[in-house]
Amino acid sequence: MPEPPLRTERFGRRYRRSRPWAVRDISLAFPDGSMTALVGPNGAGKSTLIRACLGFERPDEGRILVAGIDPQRDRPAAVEAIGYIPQSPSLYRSLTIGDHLVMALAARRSFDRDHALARVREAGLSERRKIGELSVGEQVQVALALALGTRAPLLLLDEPLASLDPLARRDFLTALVADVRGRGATAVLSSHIVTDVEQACDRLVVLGDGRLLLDAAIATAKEEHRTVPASELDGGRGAIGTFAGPDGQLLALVLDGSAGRPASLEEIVLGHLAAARAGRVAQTA
Amino acid sequence: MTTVRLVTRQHRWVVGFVVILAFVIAALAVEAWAALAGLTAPASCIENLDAVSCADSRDFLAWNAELAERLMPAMAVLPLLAGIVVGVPLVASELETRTATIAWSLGASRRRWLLARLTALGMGLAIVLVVAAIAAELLVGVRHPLRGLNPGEFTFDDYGLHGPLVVLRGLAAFGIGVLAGLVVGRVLPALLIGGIAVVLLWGGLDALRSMGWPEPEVLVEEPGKYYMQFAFGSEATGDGTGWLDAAGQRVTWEQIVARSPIDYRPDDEDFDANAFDAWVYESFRPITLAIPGEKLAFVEWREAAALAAFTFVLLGTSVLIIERRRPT
Repeated sequence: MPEPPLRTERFGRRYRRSRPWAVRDISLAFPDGSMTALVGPNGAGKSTLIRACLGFERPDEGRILVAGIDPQRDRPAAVEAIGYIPQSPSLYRSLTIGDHLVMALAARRSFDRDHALARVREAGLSERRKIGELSVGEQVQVALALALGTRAPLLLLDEPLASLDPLARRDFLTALVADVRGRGATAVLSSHIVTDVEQACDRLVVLGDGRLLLDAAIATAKEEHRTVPASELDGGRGAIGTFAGPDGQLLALVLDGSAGRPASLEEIVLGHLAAARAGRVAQTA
Repeated sequence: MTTVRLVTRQHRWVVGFVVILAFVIAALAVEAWAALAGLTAPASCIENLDAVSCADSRDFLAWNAELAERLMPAMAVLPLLAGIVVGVPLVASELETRTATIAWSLGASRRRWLLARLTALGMGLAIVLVVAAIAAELLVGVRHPLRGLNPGEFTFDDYGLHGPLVVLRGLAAFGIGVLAGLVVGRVLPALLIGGIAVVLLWGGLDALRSMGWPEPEVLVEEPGKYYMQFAFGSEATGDGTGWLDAAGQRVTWEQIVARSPIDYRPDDEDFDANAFDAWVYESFRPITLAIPGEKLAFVEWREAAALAAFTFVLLGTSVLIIERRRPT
C-alpha cells in the first residue's frame, strides 16, 4: 500500500508536564489527492498538529510521517514536501510582495515564482506593494501564493479563512481547489468556519479537547448522521451529542438512518463537539 | 546579493543607526587626526608649554582634550553597542513577529537561512567597524605627543580602542546578541540579557588581560627619551620605577640610602641634596619597569585570536541550536 502524503500515529503533544495534553492519541491518514477540513474549537490542537508536520512541534508521543518521512528525523525533506500557511500570515512588513517571491526562490530552489506571481495578480495585487500596506486579507492571499508557489504535494493551511470576508474566502477557496485538484495535491485546511470548507473539502476531521472526535469522508458523514429534536429521543438515548439549534431548540445528532432529517456538516461538527464536552463534564463530575 | 539586500531592508533601522553612529565617530576621528597631524609638538615644549614657540603644542593639547580624548571612549562603546543591536534582532525579531514560521517553512535548511543572515549582517557590521577602527588608528597614531618623540615605538595607550580589536569586539558582541536573541526569542529581553553578557565579556577580558600580561622588563632610561610604557607598566606591576647599580642589579631606594657616603637626612638644613643626587645618578641608573611597547602586537593579536575563537563558538552554537528552536 502506498504511503499517504500525511499520516499520524498516536500523535500526542504536551507543552508542559504539569499541563494537560494539547493533543493526544491522534491517528490519521490523509489520502493522496484529498482535501481535508480540520475542524475544532480554539485549543483543540489543530495548529499543534499542523506545526508538528513541519517539525515546529516535537511529538511527546507517537509520530508524524510526511510522505513517509518523520520530520523529527529528516526535517528538511519533510519541509520540502509541504506548502504552508501559518495561522497569522507572518510576512515581512518592510518587504514587498515581489521580495517575498524572491526570498522564497532563494530559500527553495523548486519554488515556482511565475506560478506564485500569477496567483498574486489574480488576487488583484501588484508585486510592488509592501506587505505593511496590505490588509490582513490581502496578506493571506500573498501567503496562499507563496504556499502554492512551492508546488508541494502537501498543503497545510492553518486557519487562513478566519480573517477573510465572505467574498475573499470564496476567492481563496476557489484558487486553492483549482490548484489542488489541478495537480492532484493533498491539502489540509483547518478552520472554524464549517460552511465554507464544505464546498472545498471532501474529508472532515474533527478535533476537540485534544482528541480525535471524527475522521470521515464528508459525503459518508452526511449520509450517516441525522438530526432530531432532543425531545423526541428517550432521555437522549442514542444521541451522539445534543446542541442548541438556530431557533434555540435542543437538537440531537444521531447515527440512526431513519430518524429526523439529514444533518448538515455544521450539525455533525457541533454534535461531536457537544459529545466531547459532555464527556469532559462527566469526567470532571 | 539578494539575501544581503533583503536582510538589510528588514533591519534597515538598526543598520542605519549603526552606520550613522560609526561614520559620525569615524568622521570626527578623521577631523581630529587632520588637525593633530598638522601640528608639531617638539620635546622642548613638554617642560615649557607657555613659551611663544609652543603655540602648536598648546593647540595640540587643546584638540586632544576637546575631541580626541572624548572620541576614544566612544570607540570602546561603539563595537559593543553595534554588535549587540545588530545581533539581537537577527533571529529574535523573526521569532517575535512570527516571520520565522514562514521563512522556516519555505526553506528546507534553517542553518542555511541563519548562515545567510549571519554573513550578510556580520560582514556589514565588520565593514562599518573597520572604517571606524581605521579612523581611530589614524587618530591614535598622532594623538600621543611622545609617540613622535620616540619614532617607531608602539604604545599601550588607547589599548583596544583602535585596530583589529575594535572589529573583533564588535563581532563577539554580535555573536552574543545573535545567541541571546535566538534563545530568548524576544528583542527587548534579549537586548537586556545580551547587554549584561557584553558587560560581563568586557569585565572578563579585562580580568584575563590583567592575569596574562607579559612579564614587565627593566628599561634603562635614557636622557631625552620619554617612556610611553610607564603608565601602563606602573599599572601592571604596581612598581613602575627603580634603580640599577653598577653591577646591573636592581636596588631599592632604601638600599641606595644605606650605601650612600653622604648621610641622607633630607629634613636637615645642612643636608646637601645636590651632592646626594649627583652621587645617586653617578652610581645608579634609573629604570622604568614596564612591558615594552614592542609587545603590543603580541598582546593585541592574542586577544584578537581569543575573541575570534569566542565569536566562532557563539555563532557555531547558534547555528547548532537553531535546528531545535521552536518558532513561537
